[in-house]
Amino acid sequence: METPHNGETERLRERMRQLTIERDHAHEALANMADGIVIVEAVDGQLRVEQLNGAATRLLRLQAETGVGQSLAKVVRDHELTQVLVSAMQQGAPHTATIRFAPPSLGDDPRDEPRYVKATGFPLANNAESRTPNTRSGTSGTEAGLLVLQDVTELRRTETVRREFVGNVSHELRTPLASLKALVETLEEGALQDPPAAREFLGQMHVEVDSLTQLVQELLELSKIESGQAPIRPESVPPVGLLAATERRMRRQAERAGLALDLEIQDEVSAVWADPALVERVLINLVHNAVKFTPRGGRITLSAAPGPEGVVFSVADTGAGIVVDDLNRIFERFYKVDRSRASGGTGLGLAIAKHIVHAHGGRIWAESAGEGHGSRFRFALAAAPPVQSHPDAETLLSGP
Amino acid sequence: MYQNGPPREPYVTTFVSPRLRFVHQLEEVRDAVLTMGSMVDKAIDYAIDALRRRDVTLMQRVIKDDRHINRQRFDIEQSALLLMATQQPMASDLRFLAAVLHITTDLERMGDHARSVSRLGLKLNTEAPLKLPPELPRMADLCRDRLRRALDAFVARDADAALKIAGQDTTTDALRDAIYRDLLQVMLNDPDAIRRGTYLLWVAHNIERIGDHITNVCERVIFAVTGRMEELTERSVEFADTDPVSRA
Repeated sequence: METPHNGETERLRERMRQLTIERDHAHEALANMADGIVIVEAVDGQLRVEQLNGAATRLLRLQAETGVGQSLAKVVRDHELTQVLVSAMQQGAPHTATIRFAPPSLGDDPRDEPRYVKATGFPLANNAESRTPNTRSGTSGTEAGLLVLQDVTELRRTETVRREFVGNVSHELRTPLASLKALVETLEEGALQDPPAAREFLGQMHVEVDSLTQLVQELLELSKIESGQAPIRPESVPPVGLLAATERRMRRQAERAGLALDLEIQDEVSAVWADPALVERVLINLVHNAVKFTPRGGRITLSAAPGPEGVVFSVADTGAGIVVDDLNRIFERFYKVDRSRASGGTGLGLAIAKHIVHAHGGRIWAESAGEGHGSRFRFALAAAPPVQSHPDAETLLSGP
Repeated sequence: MYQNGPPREPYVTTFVSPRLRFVHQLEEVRDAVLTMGSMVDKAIDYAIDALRRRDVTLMQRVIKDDRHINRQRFDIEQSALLLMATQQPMASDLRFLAAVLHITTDLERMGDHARSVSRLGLKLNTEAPLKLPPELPRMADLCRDRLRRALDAFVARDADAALKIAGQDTTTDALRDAIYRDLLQVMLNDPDAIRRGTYLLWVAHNIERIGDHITNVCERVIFAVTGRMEELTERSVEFADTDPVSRA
């Protein structure tokens, strides 16, 4: 029998159901957010963790499912992080700080690298009516706060690289400009009256202008490849042709430096799907680099071999070698392992090589057994798809 | 009805009993010690990072921030004494508060050593760069790891863990000895490096002292948990033999 009381119960039940759904959705959203979320409540003057999501657990390196109900200081163990929230709750306004997390590193665990977390604390509106029944309500002094955590390690790294880049460009531009200025001044101060000396100075000025031009050209080239403005025109190219062309172009330079340049080609290497002009540029940059860092009497070997990703090209030398710490950094723009030795280069060659290979969807890396033990640069490119004979090829070729 | 909802922790009721209130106050003191521990941990981290990167701003920050560590120590001391006076704690509660007084003193001294490292860093920056002995950051990381675990033991009231962490100070001492040997060799080979080398020796000494203070913290944790005085006396004698202060 339908009574007014029954109707009320139904409405309440429906309302409860909706609230449960809403709460579940909010919980799901929280659990799956990329940012770390910690909800904190002040209980009896102590900040206690009321909720925290998976991202926060990961960022703060907490044990899974720990923390809820415990004090914030005990859970996060980071006074700067706690302070962000305390400031926000005291001032009643959001508060942000970037915090360095550097767990003591006891081994070679890469997770021990310092990370930077941007923490924002928000005071939460303390509306007793909106509280769920099993939280404290009605007592004065109950406050709540929300901490949002974002991992900005990568962002900071990019910013540092950009800052260093600007600094490096200025440095690389200033050096030849200073030389030019000095040469011009010397000419003005009387060297002009001494034709043989003047001619020598003019020759040096040419060298400086050329190096400036090369730097500007390479910068433009790099920015074009990086921004994807340089179109890649891939085609099926046999690695043999690329290696041979590189060897032809670099032989003179290698000979001048007193180095042997060898070619090792395996017969069964398949063609690669790549832009031949760009890949040749990569090979030339790698050989150029090898020439610079290999002492007289050394040997540079160009080779290509089949690999899991397609074809692996290799430029190996018997030169200075690279210490482990530098193996990855060496592809950064302007990164010079030893400034005193790296004369005559723009510091962009390897960066350009890396970007070209990446633009092809390939991979480039350096190997070395350490300082003085030579180095080997390798890059992998995808093999060209098998040639499909056109069904009408014969008719087309034979023609009428 | 809430079967699909997130699991929730039961919260304390609105009525707070005096005992529960006291427990909360003890927890607040414990949290303040953890906060101070985090301040010291970061001071060591920043001091070594600044040394490695020759970062003057960061060195100055470590030196300046030491006053916050000192302030925190006074605040904790005051809270602990206030609780002792007003609550007349007994047994483990009393030992806990007594241990806190000692632990904060040790933490404060660790902060001073981190500040000294940064002051030495400023001096080193006026010299030509000298390669940091790789053992130096390792020693600092070891100390930071021991400090964290010592505070974990303090929170968990784990005397066994504290005893184990106390014993690991020998590794810090061994690393310090290795640094001494390395730096002496560098200074013998290049008399120009004597001043820089000496500064680095002092840095190593400061970090080694931090390790000693962590041992003291462990000692206090053991006291707070076990409360066995006779054993403590024995242990303090044992520790006194290896204490560089009494050696000096």
